[in-house]
Amino acid sequence: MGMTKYLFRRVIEGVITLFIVITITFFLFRIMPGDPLSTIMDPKMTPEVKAAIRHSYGLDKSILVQYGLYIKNMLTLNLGDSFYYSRPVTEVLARRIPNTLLLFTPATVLAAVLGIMLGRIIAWRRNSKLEYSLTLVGLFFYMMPFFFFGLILIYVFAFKLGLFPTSGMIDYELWTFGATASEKIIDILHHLILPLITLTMASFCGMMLLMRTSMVETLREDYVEAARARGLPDKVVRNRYAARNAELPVVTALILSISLSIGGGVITETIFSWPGVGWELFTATVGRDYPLAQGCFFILALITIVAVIVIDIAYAYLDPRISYD
Amino acid sequence: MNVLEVNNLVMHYKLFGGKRVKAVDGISFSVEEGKTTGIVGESGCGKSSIAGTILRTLPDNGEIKEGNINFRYGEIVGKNGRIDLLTLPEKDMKKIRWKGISMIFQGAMNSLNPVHRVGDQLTEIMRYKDKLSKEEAEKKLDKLCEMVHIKPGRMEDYPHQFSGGMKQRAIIAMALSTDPRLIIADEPTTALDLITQDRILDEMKEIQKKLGMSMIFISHDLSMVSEISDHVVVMYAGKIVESCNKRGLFKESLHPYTQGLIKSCPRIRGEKRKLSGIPGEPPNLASPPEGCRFHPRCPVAMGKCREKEPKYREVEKGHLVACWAV
Amino acid sequence: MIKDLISEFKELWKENWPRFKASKFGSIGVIILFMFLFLAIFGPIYVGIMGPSYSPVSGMDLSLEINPETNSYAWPPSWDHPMGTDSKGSDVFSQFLNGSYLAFVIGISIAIGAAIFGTIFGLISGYWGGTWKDSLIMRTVDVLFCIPFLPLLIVISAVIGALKLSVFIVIMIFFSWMGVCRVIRAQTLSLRTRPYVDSARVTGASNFRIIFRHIAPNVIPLSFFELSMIVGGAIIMESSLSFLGFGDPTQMSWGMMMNFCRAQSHMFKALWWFLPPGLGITLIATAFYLIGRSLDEIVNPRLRERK
Repeated sequence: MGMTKYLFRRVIEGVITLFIVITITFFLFRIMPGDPLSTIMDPKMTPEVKAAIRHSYGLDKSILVQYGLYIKNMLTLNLGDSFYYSRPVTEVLARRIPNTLLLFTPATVLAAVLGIMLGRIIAWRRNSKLEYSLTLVGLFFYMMPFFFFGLILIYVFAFKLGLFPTSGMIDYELWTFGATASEKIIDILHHLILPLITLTMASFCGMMLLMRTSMVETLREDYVEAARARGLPDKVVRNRYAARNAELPVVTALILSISLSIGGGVITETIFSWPGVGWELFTATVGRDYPLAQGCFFILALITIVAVIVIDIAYAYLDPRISYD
Repeated sequence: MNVLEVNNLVMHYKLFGGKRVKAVDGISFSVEEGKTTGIVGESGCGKSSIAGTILRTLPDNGEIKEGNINFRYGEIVGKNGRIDLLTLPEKDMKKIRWKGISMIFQGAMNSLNPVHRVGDQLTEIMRYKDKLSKEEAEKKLDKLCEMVHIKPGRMEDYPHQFSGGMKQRAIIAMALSTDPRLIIADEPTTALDLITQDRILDEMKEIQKKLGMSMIFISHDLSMVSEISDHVVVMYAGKIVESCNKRGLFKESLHPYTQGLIKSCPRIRGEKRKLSGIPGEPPNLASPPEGCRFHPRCPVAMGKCREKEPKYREVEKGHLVACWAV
Repeated sequence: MIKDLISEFKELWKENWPRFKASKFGSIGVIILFMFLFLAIFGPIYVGIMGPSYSPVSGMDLSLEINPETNSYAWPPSWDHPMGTDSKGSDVFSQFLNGSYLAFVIGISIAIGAAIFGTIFGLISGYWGGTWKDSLIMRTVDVLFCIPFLPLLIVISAVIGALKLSVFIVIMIFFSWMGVCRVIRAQTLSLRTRPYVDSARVTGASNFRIIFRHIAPNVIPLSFFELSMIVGGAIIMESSLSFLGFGDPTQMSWGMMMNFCRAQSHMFKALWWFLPPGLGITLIATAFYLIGRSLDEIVNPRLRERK
């Protein structure tokens, strides 16, 4: 009833946001110095050839016409061709998106769930050694840059201990020379563990710290004291009264941090050479493959927007005070 | 027969920096079975801390230093006759909470969990304490609704959808839901408008008559306390200054503070008088005055009052006062 | 107004210093912060003492020979080089000190910029809550939250090449003010219904005056708190960008150090080169956060009201 209307409205808002993002990016790139075609333009080309190339990319038309063409292309999912792969950008992206989702989704879910659970337990046992030590440790890892943490993991677990592979998503040998489906899945999971831990850790620590702070404040509320005065079991007070309310600001914070998680995902994929959209963004940028880089950016922005909408809906579900109009 | 006896209770709050707030400083009173004892006093006199002390739900910095609280219904924790609530282990105390003694909170606005339905919060307590099944709890919920005049359908709503008066009634229903022996009502109507206050007070009296429970009614409003109580205790600055049955209090009040309180209540009947307040402000409980704590504001203070604290003693049957001028 | 702010600040300071000192987290944060501040200032002195061969970006110790273990001029810590040398033979400690200085500059400038913009927009949005001004600002905030900025920074450098530090700082401010704005807006919304605002309006004060003379001083402590939280994030973002290779190559920030280390394939061979900058980033960000947290106990309006 109200929820479907809300969902619908949020999706519309998401589409508008995406549209605005696309527009902003378009104009941003047009006003920046630097020639996007410099990689395929050879200085030795004659002016006529250069003009012809420009024309084929539509860069000699007026800005508004370019914008119109741009939007039309977006809507028809024509993102141009990758300079490097010489294939449509959409085709390249289609292969990369599932890999990114495979990494990003569990990382976000785990960070939120584990963070809330642990934060809840820590806040309940206030002023204990456990609380102080876990808070400091959590803070330390929260502030550790993604790439630093990831590289340390690689160094210890992959390089020194040899427990995990140092990079990639699959073992090419294994897949080329025939393997059963379950062997393939285990192989992917084996490669997934270190990048997953890397991506989850910072968000998890952040969630945990935030949940702890939120719980500490919630525990001071009247209804928690009232619940305790009623002699309800500790676990019930902690979970149904305090934690359920303390979760709410944490979920809100999750929305705000999605953008940072995406950035972290890009870094993680790059370090581990995990073939997702983030990694592609990195390599495309280094290789000056401008259309592909732009395409990757859009996908990442799209994932961000979708994630924000999903979490927003989850929040509306958790907090009955939200009105749906 | 006394259902509850409080003897020489002392409770302090520890403050940041080592200071102590002597919120409850040696008070004794009792509650008769089936009757209401009212506790009246200014804001900050320590009366609200009494509820938390009896139920032992004080915040971390509350420390009970002395005294005992005798509660008649030891059967709840498997002991016969009287038990001392202050020496009871925590797991037994949990059993007492709500089965033996329940509470109606001040500021019901925030006493309900905002993310759960009101009805669920009420049935929850019944299912945990009395081990009722879902159906039994729901049936009882309907009966409770009837008693506090809430339409049963409203129990599906969330707290923010309830009006102030309805929330208060829900809190009252919650306090009744496990058939407690004693209810502590701490400023139950303060946050409401006057008309609703009056209505709820009437409803509470009705319920008490019907169910025959004992009650402690705490308020700063003397007229309200006197309307619902059988026996009144007057508190000032953490100490009890006078205690008497209802009629005796108004006809023969002895302590200057009590008299001051009565004089500041407007009366509809009787001769018209000018209202007078009590000059000055309540003392800081972290460093109360020497001697009788009321002496800086007392119209009949003598030299002795500044030096020695008056003893709390029985002047007539059932009438106790702590004042040198009596 | 400035005089009011100063006297308000002094009062807050006197009132809250004991609480701040007592906060364990806050004291740890302050200690770490002063340590890094000292290192930052010490940097140029160190180079001055040890000579130009110790200069962070360009200096090289020419007396070194190739280290057989690393196949370069990178040597582990020694008396001459307290943190060892990098693959070129430059002193790592001097680079570390320089990085500390840069971290402060980057972090604080971004945080101040974001706090200023965030506060101004938060005040406007909160004061005119419900009107088009508010909606416009809030919609902008919502959209900006959905733009992942590391990928954006990367794509920008795809077009214009490596980002100069000043450009980076400006873009970061542009993407960091939203958080502050939201918080300030919430606070302003609750403050604008206070009686003293009404009385100011009745006596004919202009909107501008009300905002900056009456509401702003109450909101500034919150801005400081938000500011302290942004510093850490900004430092980490710069280091991430530099590490990936898109940062300012003329500035040897900690992230840049690690980028060079990786580019020279020395990550696992020369831990003395790789670990200190990473730990430096982590510790300095932690310090700022700890200070911010203890500020929170002092400044949080909800916690204050409960007194």
